Amino acid sequence: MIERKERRPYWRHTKWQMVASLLPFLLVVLVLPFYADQLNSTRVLGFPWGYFLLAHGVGVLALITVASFANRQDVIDRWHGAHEDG
Amino acid sequence: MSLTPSRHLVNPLLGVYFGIFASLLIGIVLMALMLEQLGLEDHLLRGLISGGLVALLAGLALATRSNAIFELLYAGRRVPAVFTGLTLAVTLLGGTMVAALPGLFYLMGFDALFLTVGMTTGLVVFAILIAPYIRKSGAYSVPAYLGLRFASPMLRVVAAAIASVPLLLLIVAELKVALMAGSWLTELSPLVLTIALSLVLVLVLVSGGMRSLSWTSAAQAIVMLLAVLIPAKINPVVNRQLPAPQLSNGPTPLTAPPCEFPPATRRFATAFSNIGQGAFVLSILAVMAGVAGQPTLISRIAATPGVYATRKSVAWAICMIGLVFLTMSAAGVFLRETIMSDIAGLPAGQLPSWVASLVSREWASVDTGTARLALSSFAIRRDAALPVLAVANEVPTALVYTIIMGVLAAALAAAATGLATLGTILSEDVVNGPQSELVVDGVRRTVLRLAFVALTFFAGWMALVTPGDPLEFLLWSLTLSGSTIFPVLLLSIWWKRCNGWGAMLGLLAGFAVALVSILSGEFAGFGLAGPMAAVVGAPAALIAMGVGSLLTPPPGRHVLELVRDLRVPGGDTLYDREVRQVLVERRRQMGG
Repeated sequence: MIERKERRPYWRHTKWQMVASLLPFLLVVLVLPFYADQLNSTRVLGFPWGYFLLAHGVGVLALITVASFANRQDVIDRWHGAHEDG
Repeated sequence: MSLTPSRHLVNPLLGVYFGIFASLLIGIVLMALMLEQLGLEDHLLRGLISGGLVALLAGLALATRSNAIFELLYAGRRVPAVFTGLTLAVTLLGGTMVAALPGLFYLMGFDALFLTVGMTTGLVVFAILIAPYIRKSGAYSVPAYLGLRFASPMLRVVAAAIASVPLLLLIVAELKVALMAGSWLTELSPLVLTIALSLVLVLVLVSGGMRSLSWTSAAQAIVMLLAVLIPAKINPVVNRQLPAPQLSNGPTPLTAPPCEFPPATRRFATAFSNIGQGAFVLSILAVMAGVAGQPTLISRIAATPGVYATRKSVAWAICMIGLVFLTMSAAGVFLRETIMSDIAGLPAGQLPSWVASLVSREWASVDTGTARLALSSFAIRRDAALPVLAVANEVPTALVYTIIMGVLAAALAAAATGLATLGTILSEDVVNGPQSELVVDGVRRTVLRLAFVALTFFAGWMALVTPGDPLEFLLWSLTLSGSTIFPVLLLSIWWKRCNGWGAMLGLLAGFAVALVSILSGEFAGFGLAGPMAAVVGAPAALIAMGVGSLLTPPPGRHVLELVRDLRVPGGDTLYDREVRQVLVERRRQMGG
């Protein structure tokens, strides 16, 4: 069980982890479409590059983002003694 | 009132059970393939596949029946991450997306990516900002969570009323797709088919509530994945020697038809030909908010064993929907390529035999008015694109029916989850009242099961008589969730100062703005397109919640302590702790 004095540092740490996980992903998703047309003129493995990044890249990036978030947040939970029992 | 056992034991044989289920499913499909080669009549083949699916689901539902209230409401919190990932994926996609996405990619090309990117982003936001905290609360529905978080029984009822609208839209959309797929698999009249599908849903929901729903949904997700992924691979593997179509871009570059044909459609990879660049990004945001605030996903994560399992389950869901999305986009490319190579340029009298088969099933129409056919001469029914691809590649008919079985399974799973969520809201938050935890278990069980039955038949009737496009209903449902539930959940977790009045104002403002935006966009012909209403609805809800909270007294010590506990994964589940306190208090009053 988390100690009372650990709550504030734990939540600060959690907020930074949230920003570090979410911000890069959202930036890619919201900025990439504006360059998709230009990127499509280049082909990588036969794919138009803009299409490839949005169709395949976003899915892979999402998986990496959530998997690394789950692991990092679990480490933070244990560091501050906020993890689940058992 | 019985509480969840403190130790949530996950069944170690789950993998074995679902292995047996997958083997039975593959066995049915292989048997259908063999019997087709032996000359089995078409209606018997369809009966074998649809009957096999229904028998497997009914068997699973009966095997997982339960009477315990914690099983009926949140499956005893014993659904591990990978199975919750499966159920999240099938709930999010539903039959509507599985049926529509390949057709959207075929028709819109690049621009259909706004849906897949929006849904993926929504799941990421859900995993990081919402899901772990709702799971820590232990609440089994959005109204139950809000009532607990803000200690406001009135907010619980208001949230129940508002959450019912997107849920009903979602259920009707999924049931319409289930009726469509059912009509392709059987020769039943629409009314009889509606009753038959409703009976299947009632069996799943009544036998074990969320428990039977969780395990049947996991099975339906396996049906969907097998039925969609395997047939979609056959054309590239057999005809093009491409073992992983998801990682290919078709056998040739994605170009328009040769110049001797009129440019019937835009090139697949040409971006923003149907939708502007700004609207593309705004649509991603609207879909994202809708997914992150989807009430059905919240009832799913309530069944996980803990907060860490919840985080992992969303990662599994992203993995599975990513695979489906890549298959769908590849199917759109291969369908274009097949039509361009097999039909475009042919004289109208020399069409391949599969075209007549598609036209007779009303899955396609051909304009034979021109001397030579172009891509634009051939039109397909959007929601039939996946079976159209299978027929065009002349795969055995049993596999075409297997694809339709996958669509039907996904639609039934999503509809059942919507009905379970809505039934729980109706019985626990409305009929039993905000203090439903104090009602005796027998009454709660009966009210819950009656709500499931009544809602299932009502939604079935709605799906039968309501005209309209299921995809449009689903997008309206997402945009309403994104305008109301998502902003309120977000601030309830990340802003300690917000209070019940602010949350109520946020819900009402988001709903009103989204509704006006949808009505003006869809029916009056001005403003944003309906599915993008969350772009204005969500900010309106955030502002209203902020202003409402700041203008009213700050939350009390008890609520602040609840929020602090909500943010820490360890310790008691808040819902269980609150219920325990209420029960102790009542016993003390009765003893006194």
